[in-house]
Amino acid sequence: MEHKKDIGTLFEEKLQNKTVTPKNSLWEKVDTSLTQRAKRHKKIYWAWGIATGILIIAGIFFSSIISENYNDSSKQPSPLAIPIQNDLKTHTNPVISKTDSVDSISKISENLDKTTVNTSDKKIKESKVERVEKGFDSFRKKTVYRYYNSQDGTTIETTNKAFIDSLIRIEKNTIKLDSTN
Amino acid sequence: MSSEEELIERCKKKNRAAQSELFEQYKNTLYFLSLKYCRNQADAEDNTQDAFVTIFEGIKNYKGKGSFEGWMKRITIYKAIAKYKTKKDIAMDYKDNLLEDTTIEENKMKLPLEQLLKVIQKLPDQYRLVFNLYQLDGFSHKEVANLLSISESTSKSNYHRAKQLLKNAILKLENTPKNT
Repeated sequence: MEHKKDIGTLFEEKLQNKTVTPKNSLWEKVDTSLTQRAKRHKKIYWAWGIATGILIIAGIFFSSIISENYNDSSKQPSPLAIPIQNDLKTHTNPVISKTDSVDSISKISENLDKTTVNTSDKKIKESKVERVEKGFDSFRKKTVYRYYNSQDGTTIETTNKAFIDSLIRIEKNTIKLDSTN
Repeated sequence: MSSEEELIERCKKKNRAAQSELFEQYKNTLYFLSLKYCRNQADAEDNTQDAFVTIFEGIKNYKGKGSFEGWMKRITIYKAIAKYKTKKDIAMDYKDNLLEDTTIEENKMKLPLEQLLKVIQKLPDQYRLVFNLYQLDGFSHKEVANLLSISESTSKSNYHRAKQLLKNAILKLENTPKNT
């Protein structure tokens, strides 16, 4: 009787240390594939490089803007020290600029006091205007806050929101004082 | 530095001549390995191509631990597994399978290599992978189970089922008239 063996073992023995030669075109396929992948990798590296470069430039640009804005706001005087136009009452649409004299702050307070005596129809409006200024620094975004007092038609424009807030606070306090009196 | 180490170093520098040399050295081994794991010759060629591309791109990660040929063989096997691995767990009660005789007379295996490969290639994908990994490449059932995301008992049952199918195929070939 013929000797029987496990078929798995027989396959193992038969296929051990055997090799088969592939078609000659196989190397060409591998070579083409390697070249294509190298090109693709190059493109990806370039894209990454460009993207990183853009990010770095954008980062530098925005950080310089942020630091400049921070410096601008830190340079601005405190609300009480902000110079206000002398003749608020005479101008129909007076705008307080940074260059106006310092002692006029008392006047605006006085003016607010006066306006708040008859507060029934007084309207204070605070609005926010965003301006894009083109110039040497190109495309800088600036937020301007506008304070409008309908009673005397006073308009105050500033980039310092704290100043507007302080004006509103002063006025609120005045209203409270009036009501208690 | 041995000639193989030198060749590997040159391949790490993406030297195309070195890559061609390495390909020539191992193409037959890896192609034969692919023939055992794949369904047909065309798939085996694709698998060998993919394996070589992965080898050349990943050769920088080869740290010289273990045999280089073994490392290349593993890549080739993993490529084939990725190609055919199914999430379907063809589980069977392997204890029932064990009852079936998987022995065969040695003289019935006197078939040309090409025919033996075809018999393996005709096995269902998961059976073929399990049979190759366990029987021909020395992986344990635990390793096979991990590689194919199946249970160990499924691996055992698939292995026994594969042997039954191989035996049937060989007996069928034996009974086929040689002149047809």
